[in-house]
Amino acid sequence: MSKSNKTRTIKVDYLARVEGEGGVLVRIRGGKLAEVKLHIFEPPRFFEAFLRGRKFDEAPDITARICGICPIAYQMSAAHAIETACGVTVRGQLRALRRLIYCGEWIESHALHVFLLHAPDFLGYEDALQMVKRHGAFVQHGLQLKKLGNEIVAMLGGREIHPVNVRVGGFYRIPTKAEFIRWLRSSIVRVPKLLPQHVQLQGSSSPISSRTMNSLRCGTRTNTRSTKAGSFQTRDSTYQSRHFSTILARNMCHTQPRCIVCAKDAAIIS
Amino acid sequence: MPKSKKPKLAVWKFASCDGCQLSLLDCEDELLAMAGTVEIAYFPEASRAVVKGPYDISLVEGSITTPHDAERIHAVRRASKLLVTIGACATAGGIQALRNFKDVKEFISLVYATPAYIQTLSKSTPIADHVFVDFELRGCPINKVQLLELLSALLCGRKPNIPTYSLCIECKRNGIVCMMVAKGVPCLGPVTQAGCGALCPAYNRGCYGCFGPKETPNTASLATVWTTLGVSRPDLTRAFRSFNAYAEPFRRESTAHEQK
Repeated sequence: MSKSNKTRTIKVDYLARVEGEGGVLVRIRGGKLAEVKLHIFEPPRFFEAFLRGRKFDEAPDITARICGICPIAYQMSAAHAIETACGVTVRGQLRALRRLIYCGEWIESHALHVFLLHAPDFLGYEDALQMVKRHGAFVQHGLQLKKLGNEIVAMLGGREIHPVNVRVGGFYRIPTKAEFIRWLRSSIVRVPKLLPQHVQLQGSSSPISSRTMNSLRCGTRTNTRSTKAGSFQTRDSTYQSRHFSTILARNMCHTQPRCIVCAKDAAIIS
Repeated sequence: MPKSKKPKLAVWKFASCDGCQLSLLDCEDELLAMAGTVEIAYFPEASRAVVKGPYDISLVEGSITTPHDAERIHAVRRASKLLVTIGACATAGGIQALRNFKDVKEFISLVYATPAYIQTLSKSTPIADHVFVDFELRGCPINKVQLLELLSALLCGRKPNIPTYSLCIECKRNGIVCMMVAKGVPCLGPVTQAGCGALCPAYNRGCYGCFGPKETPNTASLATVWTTLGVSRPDLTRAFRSFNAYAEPFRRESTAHEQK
């Protein structure tokens, strides 16, 4: 191979398909990386400064506005920071519900990144919309998976972006059993159609049993086990969580081979 | 390739969280149909394709906070037939407009180890302070149903059906018991524009005003009611100073209760 001292420069003025604004400059000299410059021109917004002097219960809503794609991450971090400062731990089903809403955000955010933001690069397109012609089913699946995540966030938080229900100590309101079941029937029943296409659950060839999906659709009981309602006390009030399945939340986020809704010890309809 | 006859849509970002433009991608069921109706000509969050202007519709997210952006918005205006601002940042300056009430130099030194790298203006201002805006879509974040209504209206050449009445109307329509009257919970609903679907009262909390002031809000009267509920003056100032702090009615009311 002939040694070349040629300098190659890759300059991107505006990075597309990322959250935030920035550019990148890469210089390669003689086949070796000589310089990498990341230029972030996202305007500063000074959250750390204007949070000073705000009341503790305002922090989750304010910090959410750092990023519209991952507001739960900020809401949770703010809530946890204040709870830690107060020596409070949120446990039990409230904790599980928090995990569930966080999982919703992960599903939404990951689907957005994998299908809409990154896939075009790997497949040689300028954006996901251009992929529709040749990879229509792939894009549709991505959108539906993303929607599924959004529905979890909206069911627990009120809306997909900057949800209103997360607070220091838990939630402002826990969804009723009826709301929860309505969501399960309208949303989760679509999972088996979506998952096997692009996601293989660990150790399982068929992630969700048809028996469970049928029972969920018909409203019959699957295996039930009553779980103790968790409670959490704050200075002004007590938040009593209803009988929701902690196991459901656990199954949503861990890579357990067990099915999402029918797991033997899951108590969805208790 | 034949030249596209579809109207060109551009999405621009200034100081913001990206949430409002994400609302466009959050229209999972409508996105592909939308892409069939309009040509997405400039939308860096979704595409690296850049189609040259002029653009039929420009959606602008974010507020003006840097000298560079203060110039860039004029270029956006020149390239756009219709310029619509989306979200609280673009229509009112956003949460980052809290700097407008303080000294931004102090803010810079508080947050950044090397303040010399930071270029920022002393105030975060809405787009309408800089260029003519054809329509403002409220919300932090915007409501995606309202966004679809806005786009359909603009494509048909009609006025968007976006109500400017208060949140109370949505609350009553949804059959939600009044937070303030029945539960004594301070709520900004009476002075806040509808659009979210009365989410906060539905989730057992008072409205925090993320859709900004409604048309002709009586903020002083609401402040009086809040006072009878036991809300202190500093709490009143903070309540009006959130995501739409720099919107004129909220700015005026928050300043009125500020204790020097």
